[in-house]
Amino acid sequence: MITFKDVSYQYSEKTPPVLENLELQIPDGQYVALIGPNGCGKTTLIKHLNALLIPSRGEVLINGMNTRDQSCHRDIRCQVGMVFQNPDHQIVGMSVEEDVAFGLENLAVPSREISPLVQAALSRVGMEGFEKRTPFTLSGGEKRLASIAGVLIMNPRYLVLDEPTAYLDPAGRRRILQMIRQLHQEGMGIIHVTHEIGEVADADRIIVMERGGIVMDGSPAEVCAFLMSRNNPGLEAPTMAALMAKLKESGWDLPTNIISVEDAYREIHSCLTRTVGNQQMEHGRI
Amino acid sequence: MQNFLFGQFTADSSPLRHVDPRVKILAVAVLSILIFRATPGEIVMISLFIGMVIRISRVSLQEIGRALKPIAVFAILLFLLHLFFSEGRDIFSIPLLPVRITYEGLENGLLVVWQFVALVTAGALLTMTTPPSTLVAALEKLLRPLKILRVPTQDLAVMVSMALRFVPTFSEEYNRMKTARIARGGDLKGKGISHKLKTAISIVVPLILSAFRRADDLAAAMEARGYARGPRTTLRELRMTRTDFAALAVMVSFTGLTIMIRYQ
Repeated sequence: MITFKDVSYQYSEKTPPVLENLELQIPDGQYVALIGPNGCGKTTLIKHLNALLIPSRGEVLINGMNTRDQSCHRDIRCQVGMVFQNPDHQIVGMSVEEDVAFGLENLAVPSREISPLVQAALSRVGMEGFEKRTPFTLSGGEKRLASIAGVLIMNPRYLVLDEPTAYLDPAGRRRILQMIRQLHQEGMGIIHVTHEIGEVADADRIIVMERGGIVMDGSPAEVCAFLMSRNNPGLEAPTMAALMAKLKESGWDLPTNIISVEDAYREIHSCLTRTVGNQQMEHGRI
Repeated sequence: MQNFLFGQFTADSSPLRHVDPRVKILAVAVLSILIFRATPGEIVMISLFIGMVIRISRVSLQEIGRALKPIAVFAILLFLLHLFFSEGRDIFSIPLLPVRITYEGLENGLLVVWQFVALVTAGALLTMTTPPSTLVAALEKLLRPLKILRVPTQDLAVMVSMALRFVPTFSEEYNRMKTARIARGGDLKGKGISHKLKTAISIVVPLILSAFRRADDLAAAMEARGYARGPRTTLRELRMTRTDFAALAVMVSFTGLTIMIRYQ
């Protein structure tokens, strides 16, 4: 369980707090999406999960370990794996296998045990055969998967991803999202920061942040309805929800709290079936 | 920047690739001492030895030539300095002008150029046939005895490794900035020292700032993956094999032979 107790954080005393009086609990194995406009404190929040930042006030507990306690930092970093937004900025090794092995080297795992674990981590993200490649020559999606492998090798309980699909083409995005879903199905807790609510339609929970605080915390459908009710340019309602709202305005009997294409298709299909059925019945009476 | 070959691992199929990097580092260190103290007879021996190593390494002469290219200007400058400013017996002089070329100057100039070329070739052979990570692991192992003096050898090795890791990043960033300048109509090929200086500053300053930003991000990423002071292991533990002992024996024999010839 990850627990934030009345957490506030400011980068310096002269600047306003980036996080203010944050209360949050994330149980093991949950898929949590974190959305919000730029500068709302998402990245600052996730850096607290890995003890990269220590709250100015309040406490962050990772399975009971307080991030203020420096002796727990190594354990915390093993339990919470972090994948940063730009994979280029987190490449440490000069080959993929060296980069993936970095975490285990830091844990002083014996050399002979590292190699098979590197193989396993790479095959878990579908990157077998990339061991000797130079990370800088990989595509954006491959770099991202290699970064994920570098974190998975430490066998974390939670995986924190900061905008993992940024700068990726549709194929790369699909590959990463499929990977995240697979890891969640395997029981890993996921904390997924994104601007694109459409890609976290299957999250267990979506947290909406604004100006350093949580303004909404609920299921995707609830958050969708919340976003539809507001007009914040930094937080757009999902495209599918906007489409459903337009159709509803035109007289279609459709819900508007829809995020995914699949749900939208199902609702439109059932609405059409109902309408056609009613028309046939009316024709039958005539 | 892209043509700068020295320091880049290029010879993946070279037989020297599989020689323990510690042996190679020690060989280059010993060879450097021999090169600096070489007498004319030893110059021939060392040149033949380096030639033999080049042949065994399967590194092409063109590649060696490319590694030597960046230092050619310095080598020529050193040669000219020695040629014109050494005292000794005249070969050629211009009356009334302070221009003299002496036998000693020519000899010293050629010796310095040979030393320069031999040293860079030995260094290039080491870096071309050794992956950077292995090189860093070897450095760490060789520096390990300094731990007794509380020298953080592992941190030093990681620092060297990070410095090497930044080479492609810098190169990429430099090219990106250059392209951005050209795209906005910047003239990078203009003549005149002040223009060249202005152009260099306009690229180097953002390059350094960007490097600092990247270093910050990289430090956070390393910390997030558990990097801290304390015991570490490496993916590949270096172990001396029979080939390495054979290579070491060759180097020791060559050094012994050179010393014997000198003191005979």
